[in-house]
This record gives sequence, structure tokens and C-alpha cells, in this order.
Amino acid sequence: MIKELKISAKNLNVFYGKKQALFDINLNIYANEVTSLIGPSGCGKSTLIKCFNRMNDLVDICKYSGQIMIDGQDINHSSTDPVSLRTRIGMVFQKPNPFPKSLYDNIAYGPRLHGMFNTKEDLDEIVISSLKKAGLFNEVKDRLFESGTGLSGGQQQRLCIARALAVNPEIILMDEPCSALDPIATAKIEELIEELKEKYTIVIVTHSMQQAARVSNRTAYMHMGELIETGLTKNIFSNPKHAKTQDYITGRIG
Amino acid sequence: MQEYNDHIVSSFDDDIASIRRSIIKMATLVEEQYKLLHHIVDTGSASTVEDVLNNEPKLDAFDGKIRDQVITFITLRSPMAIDLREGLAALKISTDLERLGDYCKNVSLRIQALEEIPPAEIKNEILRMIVMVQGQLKKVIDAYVSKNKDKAIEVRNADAVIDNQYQVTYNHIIEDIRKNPSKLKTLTDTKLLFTIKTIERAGDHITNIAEEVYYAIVGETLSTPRPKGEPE
Repeated sequence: MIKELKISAKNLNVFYGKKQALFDINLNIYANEVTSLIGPSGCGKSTLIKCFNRMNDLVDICKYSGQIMIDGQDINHSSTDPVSLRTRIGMVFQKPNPFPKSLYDNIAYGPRLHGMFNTKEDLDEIVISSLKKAGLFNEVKDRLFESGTGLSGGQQQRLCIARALAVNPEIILMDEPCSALDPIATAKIEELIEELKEKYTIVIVTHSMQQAARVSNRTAYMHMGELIETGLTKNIFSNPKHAKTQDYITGRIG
Repeated sequence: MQEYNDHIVSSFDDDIASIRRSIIKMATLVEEQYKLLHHIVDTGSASTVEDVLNNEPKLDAFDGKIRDQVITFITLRSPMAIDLREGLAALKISTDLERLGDYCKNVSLRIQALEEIPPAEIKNEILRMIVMVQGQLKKVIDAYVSKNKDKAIEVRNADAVIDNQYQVTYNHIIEDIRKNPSKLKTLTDTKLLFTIKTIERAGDHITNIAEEVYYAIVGETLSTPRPKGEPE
């Protein structure tokens, strides 16, 4: 089965001032798959995914060379509008960050900002369907106008996912989305990721190799700004090709 | 039977179900092999021996497939407790099933190569042993499918019956050798001794499977020693 290429990094180098953070990255992310980025702290995983939605633009000293293509289009080309790019790409962070607004307004924020609906009923529909897609609706349907900060950690994270889904993205980036969650909440998010990949392309940065093994189709191992190896998750964890990959996944790096 | 909740991540349950399906398919094929073996001992049918030999590579393929499934399962799911035991039990059970298949093939070939047809009484005793093995196999598969530890214990305890039948038949064959000192007869009877030993070993492998089923469910090894038949 031919897989559709969604995101492609080509000869990507990223610098923070004089310090080089990413070295000649060439990585393909395929549509409707979950790709995980693993590697020790500081290896550049978060820097890499923030290139995909141009969040690094917000860091003055960040410079890059090379290309990031999404659906074959160079996202750093002058013709690309970063704001509309970021509606195509949702992002979820390690620490859930619900806005200090009602649940309803958390989800409605993006659609309101981008004028994505005509009537109040349309907006209600967007909010409800986003909450359903994130597996949160049943738990919160009777308190949509309570504050988003009143939920448990796992619920807050699902709220953030619902918020990302509300603007109808194609890609969802997740930067250690379960690090702050207990095992049950984590399992619920992982089950959600499995359902979401039917419609979306997901890239997840994780410190947990077990999580990468559980949720992803493909895994990329990074080390000190370099992409060491990438492949099917099953193969990376059972029989990696590169000695450095094997050292990392078996806990042999001191 | 112990019931557990579904996993939150539903594909985890799918992975376990897939491994269990492979075990059940492999076990069903082994059942078929012993059915064919019964027919071979009963009628000496050469074409049935061919059928047994044709099924052998399928059993090897199952063994390989189950090993791959379990390794992938352990790698990707990091299973704990009951799930880990389930995966490891499948690995061990597929090895025992492969051995069972191999013994069936060996006995089939040995029967086919006999110089003489065995005396009726001995032939019937061998058939009786095969029927006992078939009964044990069916019961242990039931125990696995229904996750029934009591059934597993029954299988384990019933192995002594096969051991006793082995002993009885052994004695009859030795007696036959004593009564008829012709070289050809002795050759046939010697081959039959190996044959019944192999069938008795098949019973032991089924007992192994019963112990693995028990361990997977309970998480402890059966503490009392295996009941054995009378020694040779």
C-alpha cells in the first residue's frame, strides 16, 4: 500500500543564535499515521515539531536552512500565511493549558477567531462534535459553561485536544501529551490517538519509549540534533539497524 | 472462569485475541493430525500418512507465526501480569503443540514402516492410547479456550491413565517378544515399543500445556507433583 506523504523535512538545519540544534534532518511523515519522535532530553525533538507549525518563528534568535514541505508545499515560502498554516496543524503540549474560560469558550475560541461558522447553531455543533471526537463530551455535557480549569489533568488534556480539533486541522502535533497524566488518563489519550489517526496525521514527541511502542506506526530516533534512525515502530523496537538506537532503547547509554 | 475488564486501549485486546486465535487454529490442526494417526494405526492407509506429512509444514508455520506475534506483542505493548503470562504461555504452548505434531508424524512413519501387522490385541491397545491422547488434547484446548483452571488440573491428573496404559501395553509387547523369538517379530515389536513411548510422551506434552494454561490464569505453578503412572 502506497502511503501518502504529509510532511517532509529536507536537509533541515536549525540554529538558536550560534548554537546548532538540528543537523541535516531528512524525515518523512505519512498521512493518517502516528509518528513518534524519541530520544534523550535535548536531542531536538520539540525543536523539530515546532518547525512544522512555525512556532519557532516566535523565537527571535531561531534561524534555519533547508525545507519543510506540507502536502508538497514549502511552508516557509513567503507565500505561506503562518496563521492559516497553524489552523491546519493543531498542537497539544505537555502541561495541559486550557484557557481560563468556560469549556465552551475554550473550544469556540479558534472557530470564532477564524470565522469558521455562520450561526450560533453551527458553533454549538462544532463545540459538541469536537468534544465528542476527543472523547470528553459525555463527561462534561452538563457543565459546558463551567471553567476549563476545573477539570482533572486527563480531562484538561482532552479539552486541549478538542480545542485543537475544533479548527479542523489535518495534522496534530503532540509534545509529551501524557507526561503529566496518570496511567488511566494516559491510556484514554492513547485510545483517542488510535481513533484520531483515521482522520488526522499525528506526530508525537515522547520521553516514554513504551508509549512510542504502544501508539505509533513509525518511530524516529534522534540524538544530539541528528536523526539517527527511522522506521516502522515494530522494527525499531525489536531489531533496530543502528547501534546508537539499540543502545538507547535498551538503556545502555550512561 | 476469571473475567477481566476490557483494556482501555481496545487494540490491546485485539492483539491478545489474535494470539489466542493462532493457538486455537494450531491446536485444531494437531487434533486433526491425531485423528489421521488413529486411522493410520487402524487401517495402515498410506495416503493418510501423506496427509499427515503435508500438514507438518503448516504446524511449523504456525509455531513461527505465534513466536512473531508474541515478540511483537511484548515489544509494543509492554504487557504486565495476566497479559504478560498470556503472551509467554502462548509461546510455550505453541512449542508443545509443535512437538505433538512431530510425534504424530514420527509414529505415522514408524507404523507405515512396520514389517508386520501387529497382533490385534496390541494394535487395539495402541488405538486406545491414541484415543486417550485425543481426549486429553480436546480437554486441554477447552481449558485454554474457556480459561478454566479446574479443567487444566483435570487434564494434568488424567495423564496417569495414559502412563498406566503405556505400562500395560509395554508389558504385552515384551511378552510377545518372549513368546515369538523370530527376528522379524522382534523387529516389529521393538518398533512398537518406540511407538508407544512416543505416544506416552505426547501425553506428557499435553500435560505441559495444561500446566501452562493453569499458570497463565493463576500466576502460580501447581504445587503438588504431577501424578504419575506405575514406573516401568
